[in-house]
Amino acid sequence: MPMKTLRKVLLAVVIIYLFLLLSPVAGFDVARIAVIFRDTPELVLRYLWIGIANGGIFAIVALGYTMVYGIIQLINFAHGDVFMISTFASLTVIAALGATNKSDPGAILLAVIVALVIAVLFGGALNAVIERVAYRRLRNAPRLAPLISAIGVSLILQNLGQIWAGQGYIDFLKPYFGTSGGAAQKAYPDLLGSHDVIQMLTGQESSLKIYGKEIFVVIAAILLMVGLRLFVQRTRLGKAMRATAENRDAAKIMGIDIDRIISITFFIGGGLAGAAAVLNGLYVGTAWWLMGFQAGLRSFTAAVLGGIGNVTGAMLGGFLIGILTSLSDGLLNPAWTRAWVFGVLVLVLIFRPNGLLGSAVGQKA
Amino acid sequence: MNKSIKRGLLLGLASGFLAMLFGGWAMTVLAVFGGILIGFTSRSGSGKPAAFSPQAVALTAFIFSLLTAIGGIIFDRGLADIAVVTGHPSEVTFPAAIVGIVLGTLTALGMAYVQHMPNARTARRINYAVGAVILIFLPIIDHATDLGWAASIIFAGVYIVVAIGLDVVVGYAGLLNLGYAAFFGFGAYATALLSSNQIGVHINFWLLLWIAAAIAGIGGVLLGAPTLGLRGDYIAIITLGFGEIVPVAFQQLIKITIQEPLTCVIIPAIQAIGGGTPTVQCITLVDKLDLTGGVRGINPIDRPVFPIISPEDTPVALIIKVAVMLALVGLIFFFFRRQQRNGKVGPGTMIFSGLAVGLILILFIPIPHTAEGLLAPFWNTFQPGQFASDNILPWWFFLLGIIGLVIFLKLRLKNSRLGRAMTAIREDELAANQMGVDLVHTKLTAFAFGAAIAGLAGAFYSAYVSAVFPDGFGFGTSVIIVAAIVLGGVGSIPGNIVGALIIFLADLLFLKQFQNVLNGLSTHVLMPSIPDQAVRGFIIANFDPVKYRFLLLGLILVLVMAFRPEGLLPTREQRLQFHAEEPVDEEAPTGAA
Repeated sequence: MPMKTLRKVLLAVVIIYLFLLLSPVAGFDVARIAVIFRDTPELVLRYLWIGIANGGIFAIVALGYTMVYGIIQLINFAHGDVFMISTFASLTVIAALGATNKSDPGAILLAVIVALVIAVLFGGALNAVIERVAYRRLRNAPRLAPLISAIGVSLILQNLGQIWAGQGYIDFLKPYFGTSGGAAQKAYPDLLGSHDVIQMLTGQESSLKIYGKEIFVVIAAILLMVGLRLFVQRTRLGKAMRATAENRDAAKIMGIDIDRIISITFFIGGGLAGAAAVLNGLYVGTAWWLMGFQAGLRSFTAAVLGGIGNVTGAMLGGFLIGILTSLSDGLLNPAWTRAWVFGVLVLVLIFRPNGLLGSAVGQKA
Repeated sequence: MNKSIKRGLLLGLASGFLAMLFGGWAMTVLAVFGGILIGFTSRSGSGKPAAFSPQAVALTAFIFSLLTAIGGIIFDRGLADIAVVTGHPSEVTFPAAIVGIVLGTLTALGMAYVQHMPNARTARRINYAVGAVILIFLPIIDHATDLGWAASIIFAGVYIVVAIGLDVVVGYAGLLNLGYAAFFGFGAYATALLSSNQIGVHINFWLLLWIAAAIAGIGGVLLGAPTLGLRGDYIAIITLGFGEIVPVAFQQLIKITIQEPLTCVIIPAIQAIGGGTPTVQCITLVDKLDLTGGVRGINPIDRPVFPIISPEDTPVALIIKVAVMLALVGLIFFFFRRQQRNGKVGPGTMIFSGLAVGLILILFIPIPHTAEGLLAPFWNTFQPGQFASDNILPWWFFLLGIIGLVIFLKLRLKNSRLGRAMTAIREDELAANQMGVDLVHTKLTAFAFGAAIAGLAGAFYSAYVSAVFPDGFGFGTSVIIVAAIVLGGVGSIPGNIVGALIIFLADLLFLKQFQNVLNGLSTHVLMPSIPDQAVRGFIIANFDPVKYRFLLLGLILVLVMAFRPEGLLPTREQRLQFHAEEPVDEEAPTGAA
């Protein structure tokens, strides 16, 4: 059908034209991007690598969304804020251990491991408590009820984070809670330092930097994801989780303790958020009471992009969103990154509502 | 008898606490409103006619107003001095307390008597009349008693309109919209752009009101379109993302440069790849246009002008004004004739038509200034020129008009075919579709309708404040509005109004004054007795209720969902849905089917 093809081509041309016409308003300046690609291609590689490191963190947070959604079809709105609160928890632990980037490597390693363990336990416990208090009694209520409850929990956590971030300090607790007004971002100790691996290997400085901490973040993220996948696929508990996600009533009849499985799912999701919080803190170096909202939105987009309910999809989506945000921050205009992420979310939901790897679970009524 | 004491004590403690923060005539106002409420609710909720027990009502109301008065006296005669906040002299306190107790009890008795009249229609009419009198005279009472609440109530009123609009989307169509403040922003920014010096356009506000609503409505359709095929919680996220971007856009659209891509990108690119130098002249369509003013916002914005006919009018303006006036009067006449033809002309229609015609005439026919008299401020409000910024009256009545219009539209929508289609979609989208409900049309209309109402509110807001800033239209505002309708009861207009009033008055009046008093107490009482500098810093930093506003908001959402998911004033259907004998299982999100 040449007529149909022609119409499609015309439509595509019109859309591309309109995109080129209007997108510069949102920072998409083709000429500038072309110059960056021509003159400093290693900078583009650097942005890509930053995106991968960031994406690893998004992916871990996205896993929490996707697992909870898979098992009770709830967008756990508070998940991003569990991530944020865990960041402050780990910050407090590190401060309590007295570790700074000038400490000796053994102390740093100890601090990182202790912070990781405590943040994981803290995030997991917090998420499980949230489920018990705010969601469990609403399991059979109309759909909007738990969602609104989740928004409420998210607001509570944000406010607590704001207080934790330093509005309510008392002198002897100052080092653990912060020193300035809560609205500002707080510094997270740069324990891993900035060691450029490329420079160490080649001996000369270039725009393409690969920091050791980035490699650490990426490896940790991949290990966590592989571990989670093995857990869900290979263990008895993982099997019970999959059964519950598949059909809660049938799983119950088969003798699975639904409440316990859901609690465990929330615990694992929160624990992953806690781990992501430490990685994010060590990598990005700031903690902020509003960071949960943005991270949550991006990670949720990642989970949807990969196909919500799908563990592998969440990882893929996380890396893709990480790369997208980093390229947008670097090549376009950071102020509009949110808009680009949102645009991708809308496009994905229009053309592939089940995500890149998703089954039909996302749209199950 | 026991129950009425308990009720009086409970309500009285709450109201006494409020009075303890404000003192003065506030306790009288609280006592009277509480009395009206106690009388109004003296009928049992199930609608069964209960025996009228004047003693019980009087006792409840007496205990209530007594506690309120005690709260007020504590504030004026003790707390205000201790906390160093402005109190009232005893010439105000004691008359206010006594008047409050007497009037509170009497109004409760009167209202209770009305509720138990044998003729339910008369009772309803009296209720409406009482409500109307309160609404009309509240700003005057507020001014006379020096409360200073009216400005806050106007802001709360704007959010009442917004809440009613959001409830069309959430309550009727069941689509959770978490970016609703964006449409409020559209209305506000449309008004700001088209009636300020920002781009030099000044459109008459009375026209602009509808343009703003239309722009917001189109925005609603644009947002609604991509969500059509999606299920509830995806819609929530999409709208959330949208609501996040709109403030960014308001902030960033300050240097818009649009270049024609063919001459500026494509041909130069081809030539550059070919190795040549660009030869085409780049066409710039828009160059560094400052549309929204960035974080500075747009300021000042024109205020509405009374359409009063004045000798300085140009002939065109005169013709338009006369034409609009005649059209409005004709509309009322048309309505009256229709009721007459249907044989429905009762006193209600007569009074309504008379009032409406009177109001239109007041708005268009010049009235001479009156220097004195009780109603002088009222008459002097209606003079040619702009709505004054220091006179609350025109804004108050204008806002009442908008709220009335919006309620009217929503009631009409609810009982229409379209409204029933929305309800059907809310209950079961699949079944509704099978029964022939046009999903696309119905959902988009719900989005557009709700957004247009928010646009109206936005237009009023930006004219009232005379400035817009990008940060009032983000997720924070959206979520407060959601909290308001959830608290009041989704799908119920009284619920929307009460929810928005509670949330926004708590935010604007109560928390602020509470902060004042606590702050005064901690500085003047607690501080001197604490030697430790660190502990003092801790108390200063934490004794501030305003810092906990999101915590309180979140708690309200969680608690309401946990203990009263249908809200404070639910519709009958909502109440039954949440409190049926058997838990309705088909809604369970198990995905078993």
